Amino acid sequence: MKSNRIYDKLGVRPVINAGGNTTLWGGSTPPPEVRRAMDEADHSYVEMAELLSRSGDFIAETLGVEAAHVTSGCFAALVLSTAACLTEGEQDRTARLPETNGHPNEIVALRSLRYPYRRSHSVPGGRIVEAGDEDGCTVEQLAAAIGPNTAAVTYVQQPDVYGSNLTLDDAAAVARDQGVPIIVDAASQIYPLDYFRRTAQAGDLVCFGAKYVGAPHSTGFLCGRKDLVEAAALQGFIGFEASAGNSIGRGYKVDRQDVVAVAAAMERWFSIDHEARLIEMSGRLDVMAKAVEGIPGVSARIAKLPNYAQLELQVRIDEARVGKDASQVHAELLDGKPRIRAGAIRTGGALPFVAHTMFEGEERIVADRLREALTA
Amino acid sequence: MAATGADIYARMGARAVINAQGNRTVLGGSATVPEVTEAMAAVNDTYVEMAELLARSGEYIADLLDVEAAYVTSGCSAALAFSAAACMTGRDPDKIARIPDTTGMKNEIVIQKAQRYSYDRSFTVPGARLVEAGDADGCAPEQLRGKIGADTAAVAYLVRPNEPRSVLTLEQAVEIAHSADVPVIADAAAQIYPLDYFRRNAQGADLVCFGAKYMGAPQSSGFVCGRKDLVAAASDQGFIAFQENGGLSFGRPMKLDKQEVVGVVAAVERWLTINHEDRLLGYEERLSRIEDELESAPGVETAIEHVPQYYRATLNVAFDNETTGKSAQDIADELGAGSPRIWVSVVDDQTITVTSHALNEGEELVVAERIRAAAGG
Repeated sequence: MKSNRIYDKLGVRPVINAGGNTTLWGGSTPPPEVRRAMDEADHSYVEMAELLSRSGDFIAETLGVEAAHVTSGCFAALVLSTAACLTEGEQDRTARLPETNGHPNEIVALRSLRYPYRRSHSVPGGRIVEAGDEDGCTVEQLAAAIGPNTAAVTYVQQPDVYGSNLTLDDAAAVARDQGVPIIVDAASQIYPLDYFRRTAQAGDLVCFGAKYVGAPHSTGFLCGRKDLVEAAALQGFIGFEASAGNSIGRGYKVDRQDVVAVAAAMERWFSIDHEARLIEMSGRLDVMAKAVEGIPGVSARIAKLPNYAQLELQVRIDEARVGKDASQVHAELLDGKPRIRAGAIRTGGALPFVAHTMFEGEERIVADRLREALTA
Repeated sequence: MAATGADIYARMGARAVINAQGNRTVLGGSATVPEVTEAMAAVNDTYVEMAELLARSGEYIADLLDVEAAYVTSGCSAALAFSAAACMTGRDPDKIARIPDTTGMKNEIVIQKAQRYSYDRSFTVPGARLVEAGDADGCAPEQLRGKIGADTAAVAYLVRPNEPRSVLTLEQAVEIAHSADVPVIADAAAQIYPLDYFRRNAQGADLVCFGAKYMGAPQSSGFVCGRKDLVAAASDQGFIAFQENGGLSFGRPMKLDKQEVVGVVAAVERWLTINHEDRLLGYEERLSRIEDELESAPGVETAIEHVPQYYRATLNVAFDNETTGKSAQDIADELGAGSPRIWVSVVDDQTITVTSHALNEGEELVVAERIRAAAGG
């Protein structure tokens, strides 16, 4: 790790991140090609409306959808998508948000897909109406929850965490039959590439976090139906100018450097050799696995994950033999120097590590520190 | 130079712009100054606990401005929205979770009618209702006092130079609000120069909001500063608080990169330490160069005007419509449609105005040449 004057000056401690693209920990570090694009844009101004429009076209083409719009993250994309459905692009409704009396303002969500980011629908003034129960939702139950006051249906597409008996395609079909748009939170559904494209095409407004493809932390985009994407753009910070100061999204600012970064990151993501990338990740995890081989009470395996990260090192710790449990080891790594952040311990208890948010060579540091923590 | 930037835009079919308008969001807001670029680059390849970075950067900025607390945001508009929410919810998680539904909370924000402006939308985003005091021409103390009531969460104030005397000053608004035990939120977005004025503003209300782009930080950055408890409540509305409080905060869309956070710190620190006379002379020299180039252009007259802004000077270019055969708007349109595009501001039918603080080195000559050509010279 390089020494860092600004962090030192502030009293902030840099972190080796083996836990993934989590917002709390800084989200992402754009690779050199993306940073070069950002640096180019830094010293040259552009009409933001034009840049957003052109970058949107580029992203849309890449994903095979009608339109796209860069935002300050996936959550912002969800808020703007909701606002688009609430206002239907009308200036008067746009000016009144988050007040939504007098027009459809219900967002139908699955009871079984309750999660913190559902907050994105109430921020612009939507009201959640739930369909189904804790265990799931049928096509009939979803259809029954949709009515004249429904502005949109919303769906979370993150099957490894939020499973549902009602698939995205089924939910989208119901929404289509009922004549209401479907908003999809597909934040990290960016790999494999054909799955990324299919997901982008599966709803009317599909939202992604661009940090996952190597764009800066505070970037994302929404994509889908042209008229709805335009209505969403009107709600944003440049739409603020077009709507004569009416939109809610002035605070959801994106730098032009960030906008070009999303385009550059998407271009890179669809052109690199992912197999080679994953082999390299596997190699890093292997270094860490070997470092804990033979430690009594410890077993490590590289597991395949059904998500964009694809690979994870799972370290199982027998507390009785090691003298510590997984959360204690997690804390020790985080409190050390440098701080090392492992993944969150899920039920089942293994301490997980991912490689894609580490830099070359950091796996060696993690390996040594892990060994130390498990043998001290 | 514009050429390099033009490449990345050209690949996407967008066109680079020579910015003679200033730090306007529609054009991308700002270009980072070297100290900021360096600070941001230094943290590119690092991860950090964002809560720690936000806490430490806030303390650092508060120290620099001699206020109780500060919190970095994704721009001045975000800062204003957080401030409004803070005054309505305090640190109560139930209330934070309900924003923008503010039923049952004090949710009125009193603002002088003479100060209504497009960015007061920021206050209504979290569900506050604006209550106007006085009329379009001004406001008397008792008129402001009269609008403060049981439902008042805050008084809002727009800090800008050359307010008419009929409009209550910030000090007057603060005195009246405080005597009713109500906090004041001040929008001081670009009110950052002279430095004692900057500090006075920062210290002048309970929550004061600034845009950091004016100091050479990225476009989507700013901060709020002021009373410790209120700044804490403002930060409770933000994107990191959201992750910590189980998803309650409405400010989750207003995200920041770690690069942007350190960029704000570097920008504020630099701003308080550089030689501003040199900075301003540099701007005026560029404007003078344009003047020199246009001296012999027929139908064109130029005059440098001093303005009470952080960039101090602007160049007014007046055209004789008969000689040029065009209006000022025609000329501005021509500049904006050319290659590269140049954005200027139109003052009236004869006059455009050019600022130089957002121009890259050498661009002032391109501006001069293109104005001359558009005027027919």
